[in-house]
Amino acid sequence: MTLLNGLLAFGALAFTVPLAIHLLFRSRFRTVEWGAMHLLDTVVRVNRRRIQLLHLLLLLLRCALPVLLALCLARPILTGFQTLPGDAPQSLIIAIDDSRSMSARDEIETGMSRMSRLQRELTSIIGGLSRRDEVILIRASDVDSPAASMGAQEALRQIKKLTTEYGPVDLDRMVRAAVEASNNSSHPQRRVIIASDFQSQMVHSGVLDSLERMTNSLSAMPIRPVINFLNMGLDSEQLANVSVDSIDIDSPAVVAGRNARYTARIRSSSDTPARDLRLVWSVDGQPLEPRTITIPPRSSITSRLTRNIEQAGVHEISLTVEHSDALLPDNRRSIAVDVIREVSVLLVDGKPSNKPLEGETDYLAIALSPFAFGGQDQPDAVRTSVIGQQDLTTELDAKVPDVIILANVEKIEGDSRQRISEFVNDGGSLILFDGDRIDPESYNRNWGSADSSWPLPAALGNITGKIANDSGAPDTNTPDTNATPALPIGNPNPLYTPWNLLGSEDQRPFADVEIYRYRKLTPNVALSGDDGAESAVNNKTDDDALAGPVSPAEAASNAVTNLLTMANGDPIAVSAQRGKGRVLQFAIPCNTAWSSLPMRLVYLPMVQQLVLDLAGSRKQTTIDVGRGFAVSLDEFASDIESDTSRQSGDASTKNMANPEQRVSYSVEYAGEPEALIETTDQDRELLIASTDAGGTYIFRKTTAQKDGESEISSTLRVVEVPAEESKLRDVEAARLTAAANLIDAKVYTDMQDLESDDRTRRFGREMWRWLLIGLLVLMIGELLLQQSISRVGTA
Amino acid sequence: MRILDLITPKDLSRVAKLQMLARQVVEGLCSGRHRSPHKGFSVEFKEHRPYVRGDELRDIDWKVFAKSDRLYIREFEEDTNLRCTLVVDRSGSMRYRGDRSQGRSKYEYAQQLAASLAYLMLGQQDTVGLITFDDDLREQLPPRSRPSHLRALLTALALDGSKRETDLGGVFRKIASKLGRRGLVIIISDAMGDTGSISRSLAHIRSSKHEVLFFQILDPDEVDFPFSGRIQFKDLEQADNEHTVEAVSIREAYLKRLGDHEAKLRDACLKNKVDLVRLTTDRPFAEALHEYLALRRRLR
Repeated sequence: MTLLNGLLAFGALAFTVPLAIHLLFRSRFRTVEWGAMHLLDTVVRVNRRRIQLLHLLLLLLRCALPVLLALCLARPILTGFQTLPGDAPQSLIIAIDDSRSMSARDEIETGMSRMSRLQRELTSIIGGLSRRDEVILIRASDVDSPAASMGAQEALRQIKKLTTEYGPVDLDRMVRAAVEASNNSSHPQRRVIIASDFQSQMVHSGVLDSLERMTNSLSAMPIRPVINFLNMGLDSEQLANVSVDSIDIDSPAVVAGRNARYTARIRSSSDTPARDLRLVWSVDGQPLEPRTITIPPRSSITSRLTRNIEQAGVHEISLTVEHSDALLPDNRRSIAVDVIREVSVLLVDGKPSNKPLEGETDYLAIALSPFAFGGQDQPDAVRTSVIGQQDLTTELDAKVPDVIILANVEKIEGDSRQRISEFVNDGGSLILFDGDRIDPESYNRNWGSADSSWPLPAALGNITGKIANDSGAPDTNTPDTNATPALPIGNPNPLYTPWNLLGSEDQRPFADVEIYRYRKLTPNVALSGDDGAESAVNNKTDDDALAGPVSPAEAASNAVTNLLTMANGDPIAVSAQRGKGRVLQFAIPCNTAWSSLPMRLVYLPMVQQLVLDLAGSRKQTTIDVGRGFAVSLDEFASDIESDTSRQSGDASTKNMANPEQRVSYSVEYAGEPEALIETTDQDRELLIASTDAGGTYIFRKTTAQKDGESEISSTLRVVEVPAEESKLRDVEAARLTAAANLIDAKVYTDMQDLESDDRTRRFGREMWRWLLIGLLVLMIGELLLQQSISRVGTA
Repeated sequence: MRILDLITPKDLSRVAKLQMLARQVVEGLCSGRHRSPHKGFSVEFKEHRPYVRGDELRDIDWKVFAKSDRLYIREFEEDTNLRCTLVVDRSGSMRYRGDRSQGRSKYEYAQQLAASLAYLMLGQQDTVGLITFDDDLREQLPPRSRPSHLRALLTALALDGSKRETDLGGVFRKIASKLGRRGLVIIISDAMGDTGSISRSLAHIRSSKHEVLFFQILDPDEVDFPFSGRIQFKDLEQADNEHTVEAVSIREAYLKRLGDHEAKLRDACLKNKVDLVRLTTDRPFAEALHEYLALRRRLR
């Protein structure tokens, strides 16, 4: 035990005062010659011992009072609880959860958010640090960045700048980052504070496993930090919050000039109905007609917007709910939509015919451009061109389409094969329809040169099923359906969302489709179908071996998806990523030779959705906050091509070609001033390593002309916080405690308690409060005893 | 010694006005203010009754016979004198003198009270005797009614109190045997003794048909125990008996003990039909005496 004010302890000698008084008064008395000794004798005899005892006790109490008072003033400290010298400098590592849920206002009336409270508390703690102490701040949204130590003033400055516009974080990542930072800290006394509102998604079972594994590494550390959890979030479930959880594009592709549908989900966690909420959709910041909605307690509703965007490019669609609740930032959500121009589809007819509907691609052309076929003014989303196999190279030279469809083309060899391979590698989409002319061997060989060659999603096998009047003439296009039994067909893959509008599995949209023949397709590499991923037969040929071994990541990205199967499980349509593009194979032709599919109602939407999906944007236009993303420079080229061409002709092309023109790129977001992005000639894209804040990121390309004018083209991205952060749900206390126990951490809900425990750990336990209480108790005891003594013998 | 040595003239004049009337009529040799059931020669006529054979002729009222021609006997109410014995405690405990008692010890107070009573009763031609005692009988003066007897009484009373302890029970039993004919016994004491023994002694006295009046004399200090601080109490009766105590710490216990003692004494007196009057030395004894006599008058 030590004393903070040791000199004051000498005040304990004041106990001699009551003792001296006692002794003095004991020797000084008045003598009374008493007559009624007959009565007094009995009283004294009966109470003598008790009186003596009480007087002794009273003397002790009176002696103890100055002793306790002196000890109290001397501030004794029990050093048994001390782990390190109290005056040793310390390293304080604070990992702060800056996810959106930290901006929840626990106290609606004061409007103070969890982060505000945390900032206030941390300011108090850091303000009490000495100049020798160091602080390391770790933001949960940026745990991977190297942690730097700083002084108290700098830490306070950074804490004041903290924002809460980030997505969910894992507890174990925060702890690991903090522990790692503590390893690099300067002082032997190390404290780690994990400050968070500890939402349920932070402490999932994986986190517990990870923390458990961390136990050993913590034990092996030469200086183990003291870890504390500071829980800033309590009773989250009680907070009333309305949030826009998601905005989805229902259409497979958003085509300029054509309506696209968007669906937003708005959720209320309030126990009372959220009435008369004003809902405002916006396109590129321009608000549309507001709507009024009411959300029942603890439920969600959806709001839909159908909108025609005339101009191609990336546009922002946002939805705002005007409502004052616990978490205001999630009342607005945006997505960036890449609006594409008309989809260009090149149909290669392997068996052309002059007769109507007898060509291989006739049904397909009609299905893709129904308005043009019907002579209507309404624009089709798809523009088709039908060519023969011999014109393929020429056509590709003239204009690169979005999708190439090979319909019953016998074989693709030579330059055509190479061009198609490159087309797919560069991001184009290829659809193969089977037929009686197909040479499987040609198709089964790898497409493209060695390094970038790829196989078809499925190897072509033999034809299954036969036609009744098939007398050795396999190219018959008109099967006698009366005599040939139809093979049963299954349902489309429900995971393939573009076909969801065909009908649900229960509605069996392909039920009336009759298939008489199909080619046996054997998926290559890996298969992901209705029943989940499974290993597939590796059907590599010798040529395939040139492509080299397939890495797991590559295999995953090249996974083959069954889009439609026969009832017996044989695939009818399979799809796989190849290069940057996608290849889709059908085991049947696109005309009525082997099936009645083209004659059915489902054919047109099926083909339309398929092509729109393939030609749709692959750009990542909406990004989770905290993550990085890239914007291709080509996006500006095409933008300029489309936007500026209307203003200054084909200027962009000229500008790009002219090396003397200076080009600069900049980004503007979240109210920050526009910042230039350094690029080199080799750069093909603008890279944002990580996003600091949510909102709309507007990228601009400025091309300075010789005449002093400049041309500006722009595109945008939307960075959003994941909707999980809007679901305010505290982790169970037992789970959090279990997580804390794994790393010998303690959970606090009050910063004062945390600081008190820390003081105890550093300096020992101060005893003055207990001594003061003891002093008060003794004083009261002395009074009571005094009263008791005067009542001796009356009981 | 003169009476005025014990009593101030003012008190003496007040005492002279007091009339003491015994509750019961006692036998006496001298005529006095006390009525007696015994009929005899006297000057105060009571009634006439018809003559019967055997009556003395001298008792016949001849004037009535002359008027009515019938023989009537004149009867007179006989007055008797009071035979009173003053029993005064002169033990050590009676020597206590508190600050509030105007310089009088309990014994001095008892002296003055006894002198007053003697003067009063002798003035009524009652016979007054005196017995003083501590642990034994000390002065004993048989009852006399002569005025000169007062001097003897005062002389006996004027003797200093002793330092001996009290044995009220034993002394009272001895007194009972010496009282002789029934009369009034006035005990003046602080009654500091065993109440059981006192009760038995009073019963013994009462068995001889004596009327007993008990004046309990206490100092105000003994009634409310006003002491504080550390006090050494030295016994006035036993030199080696002393207690040094924190007075406050035993005050309540003492008062309770006093209350118990008083209650037992009161019970003993009540049981034996003894009139108990508690007097404190800060009160003028004449006033206290007056109150008592007024009480006796009411009971008459």
